[in-house]
Amino acid sequence: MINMDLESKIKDALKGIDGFRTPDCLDDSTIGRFAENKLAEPQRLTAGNHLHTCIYCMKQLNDITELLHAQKHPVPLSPRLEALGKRITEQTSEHTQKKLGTSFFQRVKEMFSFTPQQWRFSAIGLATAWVVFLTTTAVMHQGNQGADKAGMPILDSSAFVKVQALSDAGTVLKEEQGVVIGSDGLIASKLSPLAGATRLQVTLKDGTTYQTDSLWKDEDKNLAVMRVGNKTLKAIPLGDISEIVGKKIYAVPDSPESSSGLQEALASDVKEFPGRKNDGGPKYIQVATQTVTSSKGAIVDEHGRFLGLLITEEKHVNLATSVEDITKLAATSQAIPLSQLKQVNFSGEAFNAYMKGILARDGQRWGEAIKFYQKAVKLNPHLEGAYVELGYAFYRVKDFDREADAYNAALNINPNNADALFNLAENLESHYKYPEAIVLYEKALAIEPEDMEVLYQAGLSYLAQGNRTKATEMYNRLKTLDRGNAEILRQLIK
Amino acid sequence: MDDNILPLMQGCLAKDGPSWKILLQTCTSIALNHHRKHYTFLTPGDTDTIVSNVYTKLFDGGLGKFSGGTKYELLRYFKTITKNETFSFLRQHMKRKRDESLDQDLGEDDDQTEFTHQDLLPDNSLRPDTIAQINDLYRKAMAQLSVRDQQILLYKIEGYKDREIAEFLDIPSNTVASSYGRLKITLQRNLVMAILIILSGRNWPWTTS
Repeated sequence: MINMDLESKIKDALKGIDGFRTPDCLDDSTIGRFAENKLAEPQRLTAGNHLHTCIYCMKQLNDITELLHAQKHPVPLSPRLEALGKRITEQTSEHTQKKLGTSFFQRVKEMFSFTPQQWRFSAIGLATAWVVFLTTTAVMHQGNQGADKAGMPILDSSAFVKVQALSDAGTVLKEEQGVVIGSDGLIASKLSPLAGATRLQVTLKDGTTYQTDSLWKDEDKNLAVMRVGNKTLKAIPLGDISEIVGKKIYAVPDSPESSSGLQEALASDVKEFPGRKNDGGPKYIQVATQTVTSSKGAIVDEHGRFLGLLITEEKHVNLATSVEDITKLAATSQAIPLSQLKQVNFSGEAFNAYMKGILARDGQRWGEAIKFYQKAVKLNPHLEGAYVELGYAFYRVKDFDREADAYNAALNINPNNADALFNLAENLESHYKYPEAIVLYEKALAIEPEDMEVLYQAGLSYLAQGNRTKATEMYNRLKTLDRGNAEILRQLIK
Repeated sequence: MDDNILPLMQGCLAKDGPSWKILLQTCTSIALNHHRKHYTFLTPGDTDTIVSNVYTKLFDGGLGKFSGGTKYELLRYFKTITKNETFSFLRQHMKRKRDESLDQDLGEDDDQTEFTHQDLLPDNSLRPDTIAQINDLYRKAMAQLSVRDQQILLYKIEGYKDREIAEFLDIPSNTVASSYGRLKITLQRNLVMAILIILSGRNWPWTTS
């Protein structure tokens, strides 16, 4: 009974023999030598003592004894195994024979001869490499094609200059990218960095510097245009923004070198003043991009033509003035003395609030827009555009009195602001103040004689006053411009 | 095979024919022995397939993975490869059987199942307390037995025949039978004594170290 118990216990132990292994257990070599009686006496004694009490080592001893027996008593092979063994032996023997007279060429040849399994891996490796090569080539080819087709525009970097705002002492306050927009030395730049400067210095690509004293500014557009005394500058070609929305555009970094460093972007919208149906004119280009986060520099189209300047200074608010406004500025307004830069209380913050107001207005969030505009004009009371926008926002929330105040504020800054004139006139009209409205319409027409909206509205006002002659005059001016409204006016006059 | 297997291994890795012959012969003996003892249900064809697989494995770079330096380690390496190849053969075989049985009538296939999942199970691992208990019992019981007697006992418990044990240990098979009979009596006496000693609370006389 006791024996049976021991036997079953040992049976269990043999099944899970690895669990009986201890760090003191003997290795296969020692056990093997012990089995073959090849251990020297002191080692044999130590091994014997351990074996005596270790079931694990005893099991290993038995295993190795059995293996040694198998090794010493080869069993007859089946014909199949014999054939296979022979084939392997022959294969290897041939290999050996070949090796005896190994020449350099044979060695080279052997480098490319593999066993069947190596062939398999080599084949797979080669196939993979080939596929990768083909794919890469195809992708690169595709990529090149894309670059050729839509690719980065090639820029003439000499059209980009450095505009430095210098203090009294001549130290550089700020540096800004400038773009040569006219070969007669007209250079456009962002206005806000120049505020507070005493002198402006323009550095060309070749290192030539110019001092400038002819400066135009548009605080609404955060835009400065200056002229330097070099009439042979190479100007950037000018682009067209009439159908820009949805097109690919590129932001030009500070010091462009041909097409490198250009950041691809998209013209996502053109912001116009919303109060006018026609001829409000595009004001700002909204730039959508994942890469242009710091809003600075020029934007160009895919042919490298100038489209405008990024003017906002806040991340993720990317608005640019249009090339039209930039080129118009010097032609339509008076140059200001540089000393005005000292007085400009222009701040980037005001401008950013203004731009945020425009974005809120686009989202029909009138209350939010009003807050932003108010903040903008509080920070910089010279922002006439912000006043006009503020007036329109008040109109949308039906606060007509404050609407009129806002337009008046805009007209105080610039009595010739056509948008303010028109909207204020409409505001007066709605209060039946036709004579006052007509004065404003006439003023607006003096600035822009072919403004269709003004012509139509003025015609209506004259009619309301019973002045058919003036109304007919308006109709005559309008009929070639806007036949639809002209016809309505004609019907009313009859 | 010499004790120093280095020249043999170098020969094989250099694709030397005679070296491979020795190696394959040894390996085959071990594999066939192993099968004869543990996988009696395998047909000679199955065994041939498995051994061919072992050849392929060794020839296709398996030998390069051998990291030992002695004959004994190499022999054990052969055994391990044989064991692994047998397992994978059985696994495939069982899968094939199962797939076939899904196609056929399930009832017909019942009797044809040659081996069960039990054959594939790895060794049972025991709980640590059981190991300690068995170790203790083993040491006490084996204390008076010689190493040779212990070998005979373990072989017997594993199910080897007297003739096989005699071949392994290179002794007459009668000696195996008589040794086993004697050691059984000794064991019994040892165990009875062990129990008596445990009851009397005295120390075990043979485990003085």
